[in-house]
Amino acid sequence: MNQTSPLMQFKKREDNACPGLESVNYNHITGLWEDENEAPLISTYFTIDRAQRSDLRLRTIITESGEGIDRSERSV
Amino acid sequence: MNAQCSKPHVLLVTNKDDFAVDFLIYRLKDTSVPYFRLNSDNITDLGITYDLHDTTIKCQNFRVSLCALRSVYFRRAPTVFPESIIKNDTPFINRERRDFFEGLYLSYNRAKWINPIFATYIAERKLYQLFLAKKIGFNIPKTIVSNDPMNVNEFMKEQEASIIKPISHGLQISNEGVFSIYTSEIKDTQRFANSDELFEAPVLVQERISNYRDIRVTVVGHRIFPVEIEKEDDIEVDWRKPDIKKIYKRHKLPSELENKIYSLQKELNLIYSAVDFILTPNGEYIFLETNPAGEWVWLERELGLDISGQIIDELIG
Repeated sequence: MNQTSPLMQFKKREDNACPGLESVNYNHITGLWEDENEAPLISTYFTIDRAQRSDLRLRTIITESGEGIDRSERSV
Repeated sequence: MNAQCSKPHVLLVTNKDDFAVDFLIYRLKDTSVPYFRLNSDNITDLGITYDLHDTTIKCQNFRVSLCALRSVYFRRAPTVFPESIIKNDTPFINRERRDFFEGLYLSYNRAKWINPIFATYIAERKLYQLFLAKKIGFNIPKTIVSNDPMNVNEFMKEQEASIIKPISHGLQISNEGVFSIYTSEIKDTQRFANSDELFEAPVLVQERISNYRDIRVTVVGHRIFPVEIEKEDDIEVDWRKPDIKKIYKRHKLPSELENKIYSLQKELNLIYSAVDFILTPNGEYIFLETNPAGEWVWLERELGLDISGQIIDELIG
């Protein structure tokens, strides 16, 4: 008999990890995500400060570029 | 990349949802160096052909040849793919896809890789990191890795406090949602009551180190960007939890420690990595882990560190 890994006691749902990319397009040529006006979504990230980053799409940028991942691989 | 430029010098290997690469591309555009971003999860959108001499990539009206490739920024392993047409075939088809990409990338070994793909995989093995860190002379926490609860319990009894952390990574993406497991303290009450049954997987448990500051050192080639991280909540162990408030400051490392970091980079064949330490109240630096694909965009934005500029210099310099 085995028991479950105690590590799983610390599993936590990430509520802020919603992809939120439905309203943006990926440009295969430039390799950039673009908004409805075909402007690079990342350009907004350069021009606003942290307090203004309420847009879900930008929160996604912050989440995915932030401290939580740090690995070349991820589970699927 | 501009549509008229079909022979990139720089290849960016990642997934579609990797915004650090969006960030880097935005900076890379200023250099006019031709680049191409290859996302493994675009495998069903791109026509990719490798004939042992060249690789061509087609999508709608543009075509790319990798014959002029000079450098590669490797961010994400080719492990995230669309589901197979026949769902039950997905594990097999994904293995075919992964082996295709990895074999393809290995054949471009004359290009400069930041970092080499298999060096990244090796460097991400935490047990091996700790083994090398100890050999190089870093201070490391007392550590046990075991699936035997009796041994883990005995280890924890010898420590004032202990932490548990994933051996792999703590991110789990499933149909039920996105989950994380961060480094966490094991309270006494959580000691494992049933010592007769082996754990289904080994666990990595370490002594909890007294923490004055967390230190993250981002290394790019011969430049080093040390940052100290002050948590507002001293109870939490892992500063990477997104809901913890943090203050970031630039930090100066002792030169002896910098040299050890460069030694570790050399041992692991890495150009880039993000190395985590604890700075104790006594001024000791305790090595925790190194992250060869560690994130950096938020630190560049928080403190104005030119990490992207240094990565670009390494890619095109």
